[in-house]
Amino acid sequence: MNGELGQPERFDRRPGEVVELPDHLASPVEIALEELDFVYAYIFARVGNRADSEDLTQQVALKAIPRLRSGAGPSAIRSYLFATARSALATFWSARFGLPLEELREDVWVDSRQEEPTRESVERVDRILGKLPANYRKLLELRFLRGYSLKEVAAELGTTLGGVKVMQLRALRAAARVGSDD
Amino acid sequence: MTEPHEEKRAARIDRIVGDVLAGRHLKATPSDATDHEAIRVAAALAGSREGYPRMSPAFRRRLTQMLQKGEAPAWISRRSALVAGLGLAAGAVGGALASEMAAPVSPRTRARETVEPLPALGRWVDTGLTLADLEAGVPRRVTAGAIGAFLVRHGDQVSAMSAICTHLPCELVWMADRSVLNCPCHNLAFTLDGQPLSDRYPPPPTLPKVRVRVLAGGRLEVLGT
Repeated sequence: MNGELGQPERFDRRPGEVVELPDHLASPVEIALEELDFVYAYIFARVGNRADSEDLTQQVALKAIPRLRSGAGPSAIRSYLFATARSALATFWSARFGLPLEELREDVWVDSRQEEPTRESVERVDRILGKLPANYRKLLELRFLRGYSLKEVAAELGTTLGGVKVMQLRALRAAARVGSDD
Repeated sequence: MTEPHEEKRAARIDRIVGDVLAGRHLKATPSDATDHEAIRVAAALAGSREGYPRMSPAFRRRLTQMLQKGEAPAWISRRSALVAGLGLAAGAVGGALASEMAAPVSPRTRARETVEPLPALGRWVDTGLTLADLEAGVPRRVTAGAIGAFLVRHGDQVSAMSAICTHLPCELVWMADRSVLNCPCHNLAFTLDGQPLSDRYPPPPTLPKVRVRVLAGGRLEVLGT
């Protein structure tokens, strides 16, 4: 037996000192950082580009994380992050279009309790495309989902560049009308 | 038939769409307010082209650095202060978060890595126990220099795991009535396989394994320092 290094001990009792610590296993910041992946996906599904998605995700992190209570649980943190994200998005659109928040239709595309927050958004896009006339649907699918340039779309549809731009505008307006009824 | 005004609007909307599809900022202005719903639909269409959009590694790093630079909430410092005697400071918390954020992660399914402690100047340390001293299902706490471990007997074999909770550096204690290793700091328990017993999210890593060997006569040695 090595008396200096190998002393066995029995720890069948609690240490005398009780330390007050948050009740939850993971800190709110740790949970929040995990959730930011979902927040990013949620935002990207709405603004459609990386630059704005990163700016808005950063805004959400800066605004929400310092306000998290130390005892907050995962569901409360998730709800708070998504509420902050919805607020940031509303402000984003309001600032872009110079419209008051109340004139922007409430963004109810996604239930933040969903495991995959983008899924419902993608399904809604599919529903909208499915309700459009075939030529509009084809144009939007080629341009947005299959990555065609406008020239390639024009060639595919047998029209001019100017013509396809107008058609794109009309298709988007039609999709907005369908979307507002969805 | 297209009107000149419509062509102008169409060109304007296409510039906005082109930026969005290229990953650039959406540059709509109040002059686009009449088409705000069409532009939002365009953004949503563009947003649906990636099955599951993920933060880029570069952005993830920037975000982590930003959170490390003092924007972290005050309570992190408070919590850190509580365990300051064990050497965990805000920087350490940040560092742990940084390593998590820097690595590609898969939300919810990510397995947290458990690292086996391998003392750089390690040596086998006699625990003073023999196999006969261990009762099946009842761990024994030993120290081998800087390594604190629980030994668990499985027939003629013995396993060993770290005696330190993997969430906060608190000493685990054996709760005989529940047959678990309990962390007194968070009331979190581990099984004798080192698995965390928690439905909290995210789960902590399993307890690191510690190397143990059974020598002639049943003497038990642990790789310590």
